[in-house]
Amino acid sequence: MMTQSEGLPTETTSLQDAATGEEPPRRRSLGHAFLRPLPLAAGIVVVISLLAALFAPQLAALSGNDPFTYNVDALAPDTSPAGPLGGVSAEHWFGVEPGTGRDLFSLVVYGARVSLLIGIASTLLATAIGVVLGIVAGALGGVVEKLVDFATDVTLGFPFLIFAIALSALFPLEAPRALLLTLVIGMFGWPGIARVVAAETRVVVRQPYVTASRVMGARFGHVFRHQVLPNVASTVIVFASISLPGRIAAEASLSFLGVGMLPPTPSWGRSIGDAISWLIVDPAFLLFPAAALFLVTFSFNILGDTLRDALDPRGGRS
Amino acid sequence: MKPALLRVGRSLGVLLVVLTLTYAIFYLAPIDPALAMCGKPCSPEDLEAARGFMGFDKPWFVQLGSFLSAIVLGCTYGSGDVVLACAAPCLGYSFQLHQGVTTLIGQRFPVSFSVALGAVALQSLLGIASGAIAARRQGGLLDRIVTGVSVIAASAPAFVVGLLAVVVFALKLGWLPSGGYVPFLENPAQWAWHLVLPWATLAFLNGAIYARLVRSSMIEQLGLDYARTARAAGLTERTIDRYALRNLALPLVTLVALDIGALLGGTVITERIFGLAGLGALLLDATSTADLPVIVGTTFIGSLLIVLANLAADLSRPLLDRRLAAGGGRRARTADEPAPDTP
Repeated sequence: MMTQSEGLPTETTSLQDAATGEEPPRRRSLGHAFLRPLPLAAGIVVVISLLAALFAPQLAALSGNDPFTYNVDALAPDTSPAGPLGGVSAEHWFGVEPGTGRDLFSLVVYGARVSLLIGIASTLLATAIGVVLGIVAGALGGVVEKLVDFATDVTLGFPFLIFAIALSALFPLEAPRALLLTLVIGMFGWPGIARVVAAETRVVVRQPYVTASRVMGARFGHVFRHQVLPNVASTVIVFASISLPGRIAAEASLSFLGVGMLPPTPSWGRSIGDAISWLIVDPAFLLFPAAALFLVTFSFNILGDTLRDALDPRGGRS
Repeated sequence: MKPALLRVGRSLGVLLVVLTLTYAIFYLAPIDPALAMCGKPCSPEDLEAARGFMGFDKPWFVQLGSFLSAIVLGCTYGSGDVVLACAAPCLGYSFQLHQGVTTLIGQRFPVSFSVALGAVALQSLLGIASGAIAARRQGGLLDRIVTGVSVIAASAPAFVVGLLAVVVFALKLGWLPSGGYVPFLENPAQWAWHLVLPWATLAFLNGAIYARLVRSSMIEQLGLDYARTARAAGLTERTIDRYALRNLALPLVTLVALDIGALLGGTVITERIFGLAGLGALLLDATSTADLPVIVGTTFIGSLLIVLANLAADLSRPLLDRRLAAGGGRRARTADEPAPDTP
């Protein structure tokens, strides 16, 4: 798919570059692509969220709080936060959680850890599975390709959210939830990337230079590492970054439904789910976790789109 | 019609593998549904009796076999004095809710179906119309709104948008009910009135994705040779629009089919926001009480919907694009895919 507005002047596919051996004018355009206002702002948000995740304890301590202490004195008699906007004050920058009085700023900052950790780790897992299966299927063809194809169909035949909810019934309470969620989200995320990589690999292995190196006795491992992988790399990077926000949203959705991260671990999704019972008394409780979740997914989406437009001028595919 | 038969067979195969995996995973789980039924104190003999009654004493593949046969033939639990009959199509029996899983799903299905049907209709209508208009007036106000909203909608989780809609339109402004479900047969007007917010939320989010797809595909189509030729031959722009939209039918039908297939998954979150007692609520309750038959039954229905929707999309392809029918059902190649080697 190619739209009129973009593409034609920069239409250099990775294949043509490799075939002609020319270094594409990519570095410069890549840097330029991210210097426009929106991608720049998105990049700043992502960096801030990563820093917040890394230095959550220090940031919370800076505000003089932690996400686990119950501040009963910050609550009104009906256990809703005392004061306007969910109890925003000099002590509690984002107010406090209704019912418990836990500091909302600390909860949001710690929540970045869960979101980013699970989002990034599950994306790496899904990408690794997808790339290996895709290259194997695309390069070997035949029965292997049919098997991978069927496995893809089966994985897509699972209703992901339903099945993830159902699986949570099996998780023991003491099991490491973040790891289990990463595995579940990652294990169901590979079909898309496997299909794209398989399609590109099929094209690469038909190229004369691959045939030539095969004739010269190159093993599959050599072709895999030095000829196929470099050619599918940009597609893989684009696909991984485009799918990352969806994975962050998947963790948030499961936690929102009460089957993701368990209390007392702070999670944006769970805070938003908790907010349902406080919508009438304290709607402000919804705002900060929701804004954090939206800003981070939005920024990752913008960065992913920018990366795709810069690396893959042929435009979107999913 | 051999290719069609092959597709049906493949779909059945996928469904069977999904079901087998689901069954194996939940059978190997460290949960004993018989323990919940046995009561307290539970003697080892009572537990064995409960297991035997529920059919949990047999190996998992035997259980899977009887689960499959029960869908077609129905089945009975226990023998002698206490017999529970489960009529076909039997998806198992919830010993916690004392009802057949098919009955439970049947009770909840209208709620989820109402939510999904209205949302899919609304989002198709809004998405296709605004996408087509945006493509015609590139750079115009509507185009910029469609492009901007679609970027935001792609990032905003459904529960954030839904909850904000509840706060603004139900709690602050008081225009619409914040949730609840009125059966269609009881009062159609109230049915629709209570579903306006869920429909609007889903249609806003998914409609933006449709609009984006329609916009970029329309721009592509209008730049193709046939559109230029038609214009040169003096056809009106309206006619050319019709040609272009006709060519978008294939990707759009696939998209709509996939959305209907994801019906169950999509409504879980909506049901939680708007307090609707649909299939998602049934599953969430079953999860918290570890009610395995309900969990497996709901997963099966979810998978069935996805596989059926994919099959419907696959089978409708030759009808929408006669070239596919002429090619013996072979897959059409996209422009940047190389032609297969001809010997």
